Amino acid sequence: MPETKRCPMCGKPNPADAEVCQYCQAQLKPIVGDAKTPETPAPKDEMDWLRELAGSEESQPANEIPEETEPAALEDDSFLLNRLRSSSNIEDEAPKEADTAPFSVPDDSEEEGNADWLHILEESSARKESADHDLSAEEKPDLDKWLETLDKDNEQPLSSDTQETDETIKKKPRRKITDRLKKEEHEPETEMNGWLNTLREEPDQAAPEPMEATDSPAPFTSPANDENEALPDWLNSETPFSGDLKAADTTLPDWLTEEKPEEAPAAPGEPVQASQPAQTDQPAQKSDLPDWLQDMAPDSAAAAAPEASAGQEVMPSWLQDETSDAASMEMDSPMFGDSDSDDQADLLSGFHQKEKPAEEVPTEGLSADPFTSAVSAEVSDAPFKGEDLPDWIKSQEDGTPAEGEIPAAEAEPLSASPFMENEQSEPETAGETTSESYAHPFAADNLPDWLETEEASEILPEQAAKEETADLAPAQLPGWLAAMRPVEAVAPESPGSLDERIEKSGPLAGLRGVLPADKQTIKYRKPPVYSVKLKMTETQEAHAGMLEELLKNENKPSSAKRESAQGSKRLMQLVVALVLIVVLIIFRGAGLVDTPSRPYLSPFVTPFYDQIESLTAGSPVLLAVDYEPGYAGELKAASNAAIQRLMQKQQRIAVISTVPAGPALAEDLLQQAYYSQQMIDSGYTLNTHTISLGYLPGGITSLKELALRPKQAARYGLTVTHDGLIPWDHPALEGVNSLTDFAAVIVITDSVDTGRGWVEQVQPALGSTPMLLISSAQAAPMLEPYVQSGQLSGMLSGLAGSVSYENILQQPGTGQSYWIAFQGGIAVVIALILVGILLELFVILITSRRTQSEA
Amino acid sequence: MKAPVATAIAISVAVILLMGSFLPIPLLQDVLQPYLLACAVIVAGVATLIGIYNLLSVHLGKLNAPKAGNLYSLFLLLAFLVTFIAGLWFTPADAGFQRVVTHIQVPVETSLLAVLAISLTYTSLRLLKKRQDMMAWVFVVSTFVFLIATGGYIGLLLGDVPGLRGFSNFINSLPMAGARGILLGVGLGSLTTGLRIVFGADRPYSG
Repeated sequence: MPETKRCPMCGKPNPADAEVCQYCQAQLKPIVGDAKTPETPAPKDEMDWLRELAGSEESQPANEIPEETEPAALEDDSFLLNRLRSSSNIEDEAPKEADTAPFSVPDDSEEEGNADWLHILEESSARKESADHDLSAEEKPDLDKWLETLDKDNEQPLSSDTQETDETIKKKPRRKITDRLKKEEHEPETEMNGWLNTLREEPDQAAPEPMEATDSPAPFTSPANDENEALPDWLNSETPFSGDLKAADTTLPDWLTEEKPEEAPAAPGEPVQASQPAQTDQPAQKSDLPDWLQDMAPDSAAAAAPEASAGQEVMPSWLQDETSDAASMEMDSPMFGDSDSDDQADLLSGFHQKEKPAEEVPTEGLSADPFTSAVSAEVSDAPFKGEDLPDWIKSQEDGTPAEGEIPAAEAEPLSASPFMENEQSEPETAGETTSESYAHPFAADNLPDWLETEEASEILPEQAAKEETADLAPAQLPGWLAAMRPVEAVAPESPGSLDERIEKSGPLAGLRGVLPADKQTIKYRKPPVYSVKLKMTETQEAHAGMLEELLKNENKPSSAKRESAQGSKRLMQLVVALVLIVVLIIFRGAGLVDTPSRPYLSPFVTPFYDQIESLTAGSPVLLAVDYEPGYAGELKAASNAAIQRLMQKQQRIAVISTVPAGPALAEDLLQQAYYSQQMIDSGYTLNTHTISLGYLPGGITSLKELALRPKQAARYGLTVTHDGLIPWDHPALEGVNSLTDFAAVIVITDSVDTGRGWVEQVQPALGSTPMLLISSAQAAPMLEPYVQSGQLSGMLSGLAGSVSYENILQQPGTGQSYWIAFQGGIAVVIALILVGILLELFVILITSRRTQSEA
Repeated sequence: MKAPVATAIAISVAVILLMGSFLPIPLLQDVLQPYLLACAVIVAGVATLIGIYNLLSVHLGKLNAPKAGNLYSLFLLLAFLVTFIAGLWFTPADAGFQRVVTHIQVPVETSLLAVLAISLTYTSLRLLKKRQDMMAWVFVVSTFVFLIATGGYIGLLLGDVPGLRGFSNFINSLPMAGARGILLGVGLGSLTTGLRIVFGADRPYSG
């Protein structure tokens, strides 16, 4: 036998006493998956199920229970009942599994099976003894009564033909047992303490030597086992298998050997469960059965399947259930490997608990077998319910088996017999054990009355619901398939010892408790308190300080250099102003120069001149005076010659402006031009030939309106309030209804925006009417492109343009008189800048020399 | 969205005016466009009145504040009252009232430009004292060149030299090249601004 335990997850061997896989950290012990892995031997810790019972109460892992707690619990009168109660609460699925496929261990050793069966009885009696001893005085009579009713219940499902035989079979050994139990009820407590002490010692002994139980036959089967000596006398005397196993067959009592020839061998080829290979060895096991069982088997077989072959082994139902429970008990816990009286007491209690509900749970619609009907609702779901009940079960009611159906008495007793498998499970076929074999002995069907009634009342609605769905498929589910359910469903797990966490991802998805590290990692602790103060090194602090200094200096405004001598600055400004004024006075006072220097002749002056000269005499001309009063000096001189020329040609002039001061400036401009050219004698009058359309509020917006609807834009003019006339009725605007009716539009402006507004908003509405522009020298560079593009027909820019136009007209005017002074002023400015540059260069030279000399 | 009503009005008016400029639809060109323009002009006129009211309120506030320099506000308020009353009384078409503008406003504004000319001259004189880098020298040289060209000193200094007219034209065309670039930028900027207002991206009217 291997002395190592293979991990169910990684398959690697681990020490037998290891609870966690050394390689993958998978939990070895809590997962009953040991039973899943064929390599894994029988449970090493034979008292695990007891620990888990205690753990279910105390919410502690079984292996962590201190030694002091168990005796204390044993001293408690209700200790066993509490265990039963807790186990029934935890595992309500176990009985179902135990009943559906309880036999997974093949048994090929008949002698051991017989010996085990008797050991089970011994253990059960001893357990009963201890349990009765622990029970209170009030519970004892109930238990006795319950034990007495066991035999009566077993008799009920049997047919009338076999009733008498069964009675003799059952009462004979059982009453012996119960009598012995009653007799030894009041034995000294020292005897019970003996097996209790073994319970305490067992965990320590069994853990390091888990293979002992599997290498050697169970203590029940070993005649040399010392523990057998602790058995009660009545059991020792009745146990014929205390000797050599080989000789067990020969030493069988008569009541056992009588059973042999009546047992029927298992039918070859019958669809038995994969976990029940022992069925093929049934003929060999017949001889192991006691007489009372062998007598009972053909009777029950005859009751269940009268047409079955004579060789088939049939066991009574109550024994089938008992064997199934016994098998599960053995696989689940090592209680059968020891001869503890506690185990015996539990086994007996399991007997009675299982049989007792047969009285109370009605069997309507189910089989007549009280043990089948007494189990939980899930058990009755499976293939044994309603109309889908197997025929052999029905036949128990009807007395006739179904055709083509494997009689339950044929299959179940064979596999469920504790005499055939218990002894085999541990030493040889542990690898073939299934999860069902680990059903807890304290399953729901083993519960006492008070627990069974409670559970039945809870299960009934669920049972009813499942009965409805059971009509679909579960009835067809074979037992071996039902036995393949997950082991977690039947495995006794202590909530305190198993990790309930189910892996959700990775290769372990769906498995529960395979990574116990999660529990260890999930440790709640007080959140760490972090200091608010920033931890910095000295270097970091130095760098932060430098950055802070840089930011501070960045926010500070740079201090301007203060002038060393404020008085010299003002003196210098006064000097410059005086020089300019003196020069302008000198040049302006000198009057017209006969041969003035000719300014740069702009290419746009000639077109302007041509457009003015092409105007029809007396035709209306729109004159826009859009300049600020500050530029009046330059623009009056620049436009004077052109306006005089218009007056000379008797042009009707309508004045309009988008500047508030425009109408007044326009009036001043006309009067200056009119009076400077002595137009009075020419018949040209300002009142008849000129009209002011006033001011257009809205700037460029009003220009658009003027272009579209001039009469609406300039509805009133300046003269309405003066003489009450509408400007458009004035003789100067006779025949003018739109801008296209004007012969020309002349714009005088000092602003680029204003000139651009006229060009962009009004010029497109003029049609063939030319637009001429007189601008200041400052705005000229920005407006000359419109002349080049053809949007403007001509342009005079500044004083130079006026002089050029006067030169073309050969009529010296205001332009030329200003031009000399303008040239003088420009010359002074150029001279001052040169002086300043020279002075500055001189200072720089001196400073550099001084610096060199000092160096 | 801020001022959704104002935004909707602005966008719709812009779209109508734009369509009227490109589509020969009589309804747009003869009715809607002039009507909307007239409304805009009226609003501009009202805005002028609001500006005047604001000017008076600011200077009245300064006049009430115990602070030096309030005398200028007092003169402004008095001049406004006199001009306003004279305008109402004589009407803007009166020659006497027009002389108020031509004999007061023109000299004042012209004097400001004269002071500007003197300041520019003085600054040019001290130009190299503040900055002595290359850009300062470039500015000085360009100022010299254009002062000479604008003053007509090229012909005076050099006489009728062959090719001199071409050189003079080249010098005077240099500012025009820069102005074209500026105008192109202004045109593109105006177009972009108009489109942003039409699309509601810019809402200068939302306050």
